[in-house]
Amino acid sequence: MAHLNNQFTKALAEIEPDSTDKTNAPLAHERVREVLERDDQLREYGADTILIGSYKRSVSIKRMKDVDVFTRLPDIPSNVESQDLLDHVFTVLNSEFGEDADGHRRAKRQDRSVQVSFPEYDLYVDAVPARPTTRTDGAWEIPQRGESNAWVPTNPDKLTSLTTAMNSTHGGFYVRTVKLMRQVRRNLLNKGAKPGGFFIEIATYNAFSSGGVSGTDHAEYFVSALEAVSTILDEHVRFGTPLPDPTMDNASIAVRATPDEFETIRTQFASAAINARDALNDDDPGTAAVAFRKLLGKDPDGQWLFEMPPGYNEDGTKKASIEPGSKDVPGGSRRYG
Amino acid sequence: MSVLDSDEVLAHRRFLFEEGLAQSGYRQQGGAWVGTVQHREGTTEVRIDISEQFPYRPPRVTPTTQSSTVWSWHRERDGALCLVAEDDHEDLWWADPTQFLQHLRGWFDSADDEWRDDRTDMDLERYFPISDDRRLVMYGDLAACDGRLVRLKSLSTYTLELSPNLPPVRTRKSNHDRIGYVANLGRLSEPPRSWSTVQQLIGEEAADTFARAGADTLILRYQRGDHEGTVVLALEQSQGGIELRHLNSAPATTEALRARAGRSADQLCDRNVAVIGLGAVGSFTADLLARAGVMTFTLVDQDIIKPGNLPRHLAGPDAIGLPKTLAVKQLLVNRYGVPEDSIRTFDSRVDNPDEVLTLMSNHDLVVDASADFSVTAMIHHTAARIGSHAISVALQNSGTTARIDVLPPLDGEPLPSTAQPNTEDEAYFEAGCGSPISPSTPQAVIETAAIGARHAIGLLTNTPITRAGEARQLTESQQ
Repeated sequence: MAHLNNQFTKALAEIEPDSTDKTNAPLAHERVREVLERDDQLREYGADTILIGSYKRSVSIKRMKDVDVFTRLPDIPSNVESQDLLDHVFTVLNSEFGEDADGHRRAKRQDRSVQVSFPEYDLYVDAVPARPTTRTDGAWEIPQRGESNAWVPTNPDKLTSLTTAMNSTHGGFYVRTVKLMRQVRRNLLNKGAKPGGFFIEIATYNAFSSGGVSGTDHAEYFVSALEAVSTILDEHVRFGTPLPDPTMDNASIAVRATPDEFETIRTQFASAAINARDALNDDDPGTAAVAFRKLLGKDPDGQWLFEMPPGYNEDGTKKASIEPGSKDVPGGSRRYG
Repeated sequence: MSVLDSDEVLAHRRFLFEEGLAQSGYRQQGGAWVGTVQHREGTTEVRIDISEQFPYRPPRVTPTTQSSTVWSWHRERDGALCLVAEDDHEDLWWADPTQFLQHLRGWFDSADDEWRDDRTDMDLERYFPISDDRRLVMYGDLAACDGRLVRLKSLSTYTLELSPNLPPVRTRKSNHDRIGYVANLGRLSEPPRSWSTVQQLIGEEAADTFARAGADTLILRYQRGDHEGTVVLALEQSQGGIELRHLNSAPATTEALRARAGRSADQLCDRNVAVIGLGAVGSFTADLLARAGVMTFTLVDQDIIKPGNLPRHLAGPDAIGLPKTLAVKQLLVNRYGVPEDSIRTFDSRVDNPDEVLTLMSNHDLVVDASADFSVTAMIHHTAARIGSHAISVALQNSGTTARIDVLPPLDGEPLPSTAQPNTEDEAYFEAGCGSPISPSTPQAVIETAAIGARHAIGLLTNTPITRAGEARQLTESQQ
């Protein structure tokens, strides 16, 4: 059995968003929230902004590129159309943030949100306006992409509280495992390939929620989660089993990915689960570490995220210098001085 | 091995230890490893702390709930388990997680068994923090002092001596002294850890006596198994009230010296030895014999200590000008408590067989360290004539050979000669010295004396090491 606790701890530290992003993110989102909450029209709608997204749930991994601000508008009249609302949010943010040094507008209207760029931080803030619903699960509605006055239900704040609760139930291992799973996805799929990290996060939540994930340390949780998520992906891709959205009643997650992309993530996670289990069961920590590092990949600088334990070469063999041969004390025991 | 390699070896050993803990179900929590130990009568959760000094220092183990494990002699002051005795620092065995966890289980099994067949380490002081007064308290036989107030007289910046005959009061002249009370606690099942527990153990009356006298020190005698121990505790005021702290202390008894003198000490204390020649080799031979327990000596040498002798002689600069016999005598008396009147000195040469005969008749052994051919010959012939044996100890061949001869051999032939032709070393003469100064080194002197002392002790205890002696080449660095 190879638990490699310190190596997992260090890998987690490596994928943690760096301190610059952690410092800049609040500065950026607070600026956007302040602008939105200051607008007369949105104030009339009862604007109440909250942070959502992977940053809020502490499951983001390096490099953190965006922060989501959810703007709840409890008093918005029901006749305000979704595209009009997005237009208004765009106008508010565009007039405030204007253009960047290259002459590009910093506010950009997207399908469901308005994105504001912060070039000085190399960071984006997505402002998502939302109106209340009469649903009993507490979900809100946000503009639906591509259609005039279409709305889609969502409950991001619930996901934040579910994440906190799940993390607490598992002694902090849930959030850390989600980060590792997102990193595995990033490593195994090509850049820009779908499904994205949120899909894997929800699959991981469902895996935990079903009781299929357990462990007592990083290695056990990681391997167990990979196996459970692999099973969920297999059922989803091969048999069309829906991936439940834990934040809303009778809802499931829908993501934009091609059948090939789904097949790729299915097969990649299936192999990853097998390799991870073999690594955990391996009596040789060197070869186990090599297997784990292949799953987690490298950082943008090309450095492995999972370091080899002390005394092992990059290929998992033991270094010559630590092979037995030199006794601690050549004279042996029972000496007196 | 480079420093980097060495660092990696240590990191690797730590990694293997931690991996072993993980495989045994221990989990990292806040820098420590937490897990359970299943032992004969239950399961106990413990916390294992691995220090930066690992593997040179064993991990510390503490029950996560202190009260879940019985307090005993086998727990440290802070509740950690005493897993590795001070004299068990062998082989860094604790770096092997399997051995370590097995040992840990063994600790709990022994605790379940109430430490039957327990080794009785006499280390009560471990359960009290050390006092700021770092002077060493030396004490003699304490049995006669039980229940009495005593003065701990300040002898120097570093020492206090328990003086049962001095009045137990401080005067202006003796304000560096301490006033103590000697109590016998008898057999202790577990170590006391606080002033209130000690008060209960010594009894109300003793506590009153202690307080009335303004005493500040407790000398507590106690028993574990068949052994008696003593701890000296200072009563000190702390933020939380009165606190007991331990003073460094040690017995200054014959037994304490004898315990470290080797297994032959009891036999050797009844033997008397004549040492002829108290030069470099002879002085150290006499010193080693006294350390080993010989208490009666006759020392014979006609020379005095000169400054040039100091690098190779036992005596120090304060002995310059003294006869070598007297210089050595003073050291044996002062260092090892050899009674003055049991060391006779003759500041003269041994120059006739009758003197040798007298010395041989009156002593259990004559040690010839004269390195004088005629003296050694006289001793050899006399010993052969009366059917006795002497021992000759010398350096030879400009200090490159240690030569020890049993004269005559116990049986058989003597060792073959090891004398080599004179080298062309430039001889160095000093004013007042009739022969050139030997180039023998101090280390060769002490090594030769040590070999000679071993052979002498063998003859004195009727367990000779060899029949005829020993010759050893002493290779010196060529630098």
